[in-house]
Amino acid sequence: MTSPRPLSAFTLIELMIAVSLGMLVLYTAFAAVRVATGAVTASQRLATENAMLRIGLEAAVDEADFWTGSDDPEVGGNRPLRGIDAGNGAGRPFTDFRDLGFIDPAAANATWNETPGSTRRGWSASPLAWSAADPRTWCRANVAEEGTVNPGGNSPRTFWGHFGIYSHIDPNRAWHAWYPNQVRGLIDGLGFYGLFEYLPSNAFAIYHGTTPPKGASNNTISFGGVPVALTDNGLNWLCPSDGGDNTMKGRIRNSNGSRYYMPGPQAATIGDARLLAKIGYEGRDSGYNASEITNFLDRTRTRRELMRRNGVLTAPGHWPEVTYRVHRFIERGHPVTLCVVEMTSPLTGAQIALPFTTVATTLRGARQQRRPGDGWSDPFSAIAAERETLDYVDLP
Amino acid sequence: MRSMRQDDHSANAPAGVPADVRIRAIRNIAARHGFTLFEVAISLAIMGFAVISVLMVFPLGLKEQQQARARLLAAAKTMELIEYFAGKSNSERMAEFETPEPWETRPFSYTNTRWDLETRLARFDSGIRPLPLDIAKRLDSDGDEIQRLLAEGAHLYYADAAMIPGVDIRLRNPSPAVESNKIIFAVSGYAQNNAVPVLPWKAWPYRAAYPSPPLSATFGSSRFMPQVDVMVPVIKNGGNGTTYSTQAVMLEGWMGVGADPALPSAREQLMAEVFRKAQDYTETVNPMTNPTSFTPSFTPPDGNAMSLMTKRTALAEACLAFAQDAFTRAGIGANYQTYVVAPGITDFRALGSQWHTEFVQRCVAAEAITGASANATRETRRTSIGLEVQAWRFLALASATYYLRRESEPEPDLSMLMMGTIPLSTDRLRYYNDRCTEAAMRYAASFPYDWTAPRPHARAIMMDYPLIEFDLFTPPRSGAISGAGGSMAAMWRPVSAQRITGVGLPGVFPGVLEAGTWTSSVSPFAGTDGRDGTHRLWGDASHFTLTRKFHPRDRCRELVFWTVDWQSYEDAETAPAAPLDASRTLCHGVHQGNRNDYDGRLRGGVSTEDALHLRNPERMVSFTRDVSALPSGSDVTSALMTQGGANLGSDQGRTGSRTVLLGIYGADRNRNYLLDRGPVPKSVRMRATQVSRFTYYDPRLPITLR
Repeated sequence: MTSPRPLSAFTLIELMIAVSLGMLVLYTAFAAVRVATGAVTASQRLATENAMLRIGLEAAVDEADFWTGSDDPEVGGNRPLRGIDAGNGAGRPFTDFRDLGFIDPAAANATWNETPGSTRRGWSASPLAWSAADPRTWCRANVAEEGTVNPGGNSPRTFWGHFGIYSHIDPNRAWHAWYPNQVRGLIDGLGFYGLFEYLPSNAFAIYHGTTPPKGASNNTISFGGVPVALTDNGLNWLCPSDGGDNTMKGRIRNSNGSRYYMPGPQAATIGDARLLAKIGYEGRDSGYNASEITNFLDRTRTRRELMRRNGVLTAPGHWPEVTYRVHRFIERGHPVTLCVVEMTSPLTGAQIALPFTTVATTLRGARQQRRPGDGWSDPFSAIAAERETLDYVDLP
Repeated sequence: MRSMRQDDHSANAPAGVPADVRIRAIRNIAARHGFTLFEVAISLAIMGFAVISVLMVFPLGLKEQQQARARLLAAAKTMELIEYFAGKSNSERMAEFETPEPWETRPFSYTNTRWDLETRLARFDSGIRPLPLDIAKRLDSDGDEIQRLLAEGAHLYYADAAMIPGVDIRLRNPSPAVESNKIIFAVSGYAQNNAVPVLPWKAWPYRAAYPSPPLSATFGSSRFMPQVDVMVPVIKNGGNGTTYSTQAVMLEGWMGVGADPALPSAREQLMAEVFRKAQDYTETVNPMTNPTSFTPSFTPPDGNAMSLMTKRTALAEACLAFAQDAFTRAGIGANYQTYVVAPGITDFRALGSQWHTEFVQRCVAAEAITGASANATRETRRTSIGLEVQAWRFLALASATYYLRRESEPEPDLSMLMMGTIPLSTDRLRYYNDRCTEAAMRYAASFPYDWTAPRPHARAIMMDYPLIEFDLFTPPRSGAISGAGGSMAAMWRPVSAQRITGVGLPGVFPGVLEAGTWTSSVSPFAGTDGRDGTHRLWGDASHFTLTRKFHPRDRCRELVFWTVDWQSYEDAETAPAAPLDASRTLCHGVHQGNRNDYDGRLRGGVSTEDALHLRNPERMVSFTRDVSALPSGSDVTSALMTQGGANLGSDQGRTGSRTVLLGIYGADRNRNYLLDRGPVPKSVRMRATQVSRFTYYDPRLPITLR
């Protein structure tokens, strides 16, 4: 009898088990692939977002350092914040001091003195120009003098005399003329943000003179000889309408409840460089006017769409789109550079933001990066013209 | 079935081969025919394991991207923190006050004013908040660093993504912030013993305009009055001609010689006379309204309604008397004739240059004896120069009052006027003003440890602040808190780089308050400072370290960032706030009316903007009532103090009204105005993954980058 033929295939049970195992393995593998695919997709999306955020952050910090959104010194660059207003002769934050006649005419290595009638009353970028030990840098105005024209009540406080005989914008009226001309020149040239960035932290924004600053909202000179526009709270010009103390003040007091802001390039008007924004006092979460905030952000915004050129998207459509904006203002005496990187999802349109502040180049530093006209200043160039900046003719 | 196969194959085996070898051969032959089901299963399992393992690597990539995101956010946050720490204005309005003792009045404490990153930044307006300690204690980390830091007294912090330190919350970005709630951070490395921003007893530097009358403050009836009342009534604030509700009190003029503190009774009577005459002059009507006649709108306390010119002359005579006396006491009596009376001088600029040379020589001579140890000669020279500065200040003040004109009017003819016996001219007024300004500026720059004369307003720089620190190696001073039932408090003693000369008395509390008893005849600075820690106030000068050499590593601390999903805890929003240093409690200033009611002094009364460094850093999001019974997802807007959901008492330290101050009911920590509870029970520990570390410079002085 022939022995039974060896089995050449699985039994039904074996087959069922094998199929079950196989299905299990396939399902597991499929699930794993699905998870992995999802993970890869999410990872890639996250990686792209991270890359975009990183690029946005780097671009925002770059803008904070070089201010090219506000003033592009490259050939053909957008420079709306230069020039002089034809109406009143006032400058803008990136106006060349030479165009305003506000620049120290002496050689870079000239020593300072304050001889009567000296023409050296323009801006000097020398680190010694504002030395606290130098008598010309001392404000000699009467801190109690009220710059209102109201002769009644407690004002003006002229009990203590007319201090225009000590310090005056006209060198023929006093022994000291440098400080008042610095204040006047900075207001006329740069506006309020520039004024308080250029003046030392402790400086008073005041001068005695016979004429008001350019573009002042009030042309009156007080009984004691100070422009009312610099001291009167009610005018909402240099001083915020806060406190009712119509006396001379400085950066910290004036920016306690208000902010002086650097105008964005899209809001480049003469008046804008001389506006301040009063948006409340403290960090409360209520009681503010949304439109004021919108206006403030609009006025101060320097923005760039990193993935568009002339409004046309130049990156793959499935990438998240990233933009940044930089706002510069002085709050409580603190010069703030607020950067906001914003990213928009291509799928949902939802937007997220990465806001942060950073140590950044000052307006003064940015002006000294630039040459008059086109180009960046090169302090190491052998050619004098290439060492020029918006602040000085040659290295101080 | 298995044995049948073996049998079949063994039939083909060569003869003479041992049975076991034959069996192995048979098995090998069988293996070549195919895998067993078991083998297939094993193989599939191995392959599946391998495939799944490989696939599981992909989520690791995702995790790595999440870490990359966290590193990016940490870097941005670090830039922000350092910028705020270094760039924020160092003016802290309500931190610059005085107190009879550090434990008596508005909270002055080293712990809430020290210049350390976490102290400066963890405030309710910054969005930097301590993580609840209950939650922080559940977090593990590499090397157990988190628990080590907590054990050393540090906090973990989380940041409100919608807030930017130093920027008004109303300017926050309208778009939702990048998810950063999982990021926590801490400061690693020991804080240093920093300089004291303000000496609690006397908030030097006092500042004054130059020229100006003596500094003064108004004292109402509730204030602790100085012993010798160099005060005049403030008539405009109301009175009946006999009594007045407010008195203006002179804050200067306790000018002892050298470093020996003056007694409260030792007022400078000649300066007091300048003060009285200046107050009298100011209380006239506006001279510009009617400069030639005076019609008083009130009855002066002495009933003597003088004319404006008479008052001005009286002020000038008082100033001249003070100046002559000060020059004499400073040992330069001859200079009074040469540089003040200056008879026959027409070239005042040349005279000014001559004075400048001599004054600089005096200043240099005062510093000729260097060193931190006490030296009577040097200290006397310093106070002498301070006297001269005051003399020029009042001379310039008095002379300026002679040049009264409106801007639009012709210049007055000063040649017709005399100040005492001194003929006036515009140039002489300019000369006095220049001497006043120059003397003050040079003096302020040269002698930060001489407090004889106030610092000029027009020259406020960091060098005006003397270097003072607390002495951590001498037993602290202690005393009973007034009105606190005998509760005791203690504070380190201050030490300064040099012994302070012309220290005078405090302007606000010119006396000593001990357990509610005010003694105006004793100065807190009384007694000889032997520089050895035996003084009643000052510590041991040999423990002063601010000017010692240091290694860069001594000035370095680290910001350490981790990620952990702490908001998944079930009590992420109901856990109490991290413990609050008691010194951050709001507190009324002490005065006659509340000195026996410390609990009453804890009623706050300090406006928001004035006390940003106080209060609970979670104040903006703290719950004012117990919300633990509410279901998850409940709207908790009405429970937030900042939404008007509570009375102000909850933010105060008074008994029974400090729920927000202490944060006992938790906070809306993701600021979505909903009560959130995560799925993770409190019993589970989480592991925090380190993201990055940043080393930063930790200054010992209050400094601001600009």
